[in-house]
Amino acid sequence: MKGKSTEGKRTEALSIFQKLPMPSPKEESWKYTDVRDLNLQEFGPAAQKIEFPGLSDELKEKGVIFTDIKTAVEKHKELMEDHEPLSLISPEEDKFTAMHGAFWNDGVFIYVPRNVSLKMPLRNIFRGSGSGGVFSHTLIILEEGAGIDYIEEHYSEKFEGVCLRNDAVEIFAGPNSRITFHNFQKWEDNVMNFTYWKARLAKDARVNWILGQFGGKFSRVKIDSFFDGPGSESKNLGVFYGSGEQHFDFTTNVHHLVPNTTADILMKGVLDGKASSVYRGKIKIAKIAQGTNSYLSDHSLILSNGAVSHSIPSLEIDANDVKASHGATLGKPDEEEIFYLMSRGLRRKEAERQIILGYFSPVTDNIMFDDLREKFNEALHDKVRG
Amino acid sequence: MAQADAEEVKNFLGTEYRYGFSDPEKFAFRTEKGLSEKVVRQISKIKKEPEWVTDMRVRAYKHFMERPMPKWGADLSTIDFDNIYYYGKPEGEQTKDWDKVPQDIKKTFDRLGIPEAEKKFLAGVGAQYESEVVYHNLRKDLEKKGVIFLDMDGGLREHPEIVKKWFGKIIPFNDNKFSALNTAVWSGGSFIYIPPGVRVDLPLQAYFRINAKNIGQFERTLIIADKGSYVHYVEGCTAPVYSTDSLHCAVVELAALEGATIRYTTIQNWSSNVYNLVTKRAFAYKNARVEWIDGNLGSKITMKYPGVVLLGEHAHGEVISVAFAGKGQHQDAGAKITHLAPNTTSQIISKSVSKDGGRTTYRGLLRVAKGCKNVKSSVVCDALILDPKSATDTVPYMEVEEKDVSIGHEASVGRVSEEQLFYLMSRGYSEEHALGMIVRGFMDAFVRELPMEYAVELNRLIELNMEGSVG
Repeated sequence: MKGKSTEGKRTEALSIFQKLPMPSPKEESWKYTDVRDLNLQEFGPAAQKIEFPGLSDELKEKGVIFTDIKTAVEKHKELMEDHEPLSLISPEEDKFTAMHGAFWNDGVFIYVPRNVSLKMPLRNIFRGSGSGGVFSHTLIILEEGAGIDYIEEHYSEKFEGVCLRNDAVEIFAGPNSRITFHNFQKWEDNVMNFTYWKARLAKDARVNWILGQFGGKFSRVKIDSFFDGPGSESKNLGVFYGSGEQHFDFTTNVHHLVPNTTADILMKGVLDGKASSVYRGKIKIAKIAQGTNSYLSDHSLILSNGAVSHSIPSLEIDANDVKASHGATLGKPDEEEIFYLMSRGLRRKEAERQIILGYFSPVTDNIMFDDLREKFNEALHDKVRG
Repeated sequence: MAQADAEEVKNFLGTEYRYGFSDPEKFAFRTEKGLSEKVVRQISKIKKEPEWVTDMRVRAYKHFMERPMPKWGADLSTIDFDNIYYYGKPEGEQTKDWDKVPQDIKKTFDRLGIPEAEKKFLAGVGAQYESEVVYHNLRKDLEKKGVIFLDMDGGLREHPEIVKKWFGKIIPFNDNKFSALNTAVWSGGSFIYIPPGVRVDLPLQAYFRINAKNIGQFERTLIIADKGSYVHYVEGCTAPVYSTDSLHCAVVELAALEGATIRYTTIQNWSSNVYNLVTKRAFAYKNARVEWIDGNLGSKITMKYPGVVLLGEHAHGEVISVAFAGKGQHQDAGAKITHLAPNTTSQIISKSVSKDGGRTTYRGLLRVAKGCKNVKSSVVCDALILDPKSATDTVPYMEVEEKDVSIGHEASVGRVSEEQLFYLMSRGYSEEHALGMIVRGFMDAFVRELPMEYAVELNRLIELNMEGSVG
């Protein structure tokens, strides 16, 4: 798609979108998520606000850019030369990605120049305020040695109808650059979400994803990390908490394409009420990717009898001098732990709460920003209290 | 086996696939090449089958033709269904006396060591050559206790009421494309019934041999272990090495009734031109136990996922699977456990080794249905990759609809550690020998579950497969 004008790409994505049928549960990646009843024609443009805090003069002087993507496409064309929106994510991925490619209309652009490292996180707050479709595109370009923390927080106001979110995030991580991408969503149950994140890591780059998914009627997030340079590293840390009739569908794929790269994935979920989840995690190691170190671990706590959990952690290994493993557990909170806490004077319900909060701490402890960690914990508390 | 024997074994057996010899092709009858409704009806007619069996065959044939090839798993696009003979009856009639088996065929089974093994440590033996069972025998004392051990065609003739009750009930013909193919053209296989409370201490064995070129073997096995009984069934399989492909497509149905135990051991060592596409499933009722011990060493492509459906409380299902993929081989094996009753337990252990460009895949499904409280299950998959050309995949599915469960899954992939090798070599073992020891140790969980004679045999096979792994 490279070399095409933005409009050209849009037209092509639109024709792919129109050509592709709605995904059916017969397709492997939609086996546990049935969207056939969704009429995509119903979702005209919807209102959302993206809050942009200003950048300090110092950062501006250093050349950091943090702006909405429409402005960026007009004003910073030269920075996007090899990194235009949708040069990493292909609309051919699936119908929803094609839909995004055709209709994306706002979002975020971040550019961090060579050897500039930010101490404080950049943060956007996304607030959906009405029914319809929202298509945000986030493009992050990190030059060699650049470093940032980025936080996206998602909320929705109370409104009638359903908001369909169809977002994409693309990260180009230059040599020796560093980013931790934090996602936190606490939508009302009027949101259905389809999101695709993709990062390309150059030599010695580090891209960490931290995912906190609590709200929405339905949320599907797919994360692909491509290790293109030796020495690159990625962590995927995620928590989710489903209750009521929520359905979550998460995928994390790590593609080890070159030697000596490292990935560590940890997903922790809780399912209550009639909530359901599917988690797929794939470790893919190419033939030349000797010296890969890759670990995946996923856990589901099931609190009620109506809840359903699916877990498909997989390995695809074509090299031999590697370490790759995964572990998965599914079950209810440990009775012995509950008993212990009760013997210390907690009531059963409270003991369970404490165990659930402790269960998430291997993820939440990795959040370096107190206010964000508090938001995760608050969201968990709210959920646990029901 | 003792380590000192390694050299001896190597000298004795040479480095070739040991079972690659062939005999002249002599058929009493063979259907025309390729598959058609006519061929299906012809097989049924030769066997003088009741109408319900013919009907089922024809329905299955139609389903096979309509059903697309699976889009997942190993690459099956190279199977030429038109270039296969679907039924071939060897000369001679089934007998209980090895001396009455036609000379060439007898010689083959002698070389495979079957009559000798029968004398030593088996309670009964069936030997299938191409499409038919040529030899079948069960110890007299077991016959007296009411144990039935026949080939499947004999089972259908002599015990139609049991067969009709179970045949195609555990694995319906439309379960998958290859169960449909088997149901359309099946011939041979074993039929076993163990009466309530009877314990068959020594294993019953079936041996499957393909001899001719381009022939398909489609045996069908049904084992019913009645209440509180015990049986261990062992199957082995080999074929000559040909440049054209053969197809082995079996269906195996087991029913372990209340309190019964079935242990089913397979040592699959087809030659490297055989497609091995097998459907195996067991029903385990209350307090029953089913164990699949599944070893895949041979074949070009294997796709096989032995299953246990746990239907009654306190039933237990177990799959211990090892796979060894060498040059040009893809072992796509695994397990399927379905918990449909509370207080049921299961365990899956999978070990695989790939070398010389081979690929192993573990593919598994663990399902816990709603309301199945107190289910416990553990899945462990380990893969060793011995060189940079080889590959492995792990694809486990876990579907859980109940909270009162404890499910654990672990998988790891790696190479043989330099430290282990160095340690053994510092103790005076050659690198090749040390590697062989490490691989055998890795597969120990499987080998331990085999009857002693088979364990020795399997160790030999591993030894042979490991040859030339160094350097």
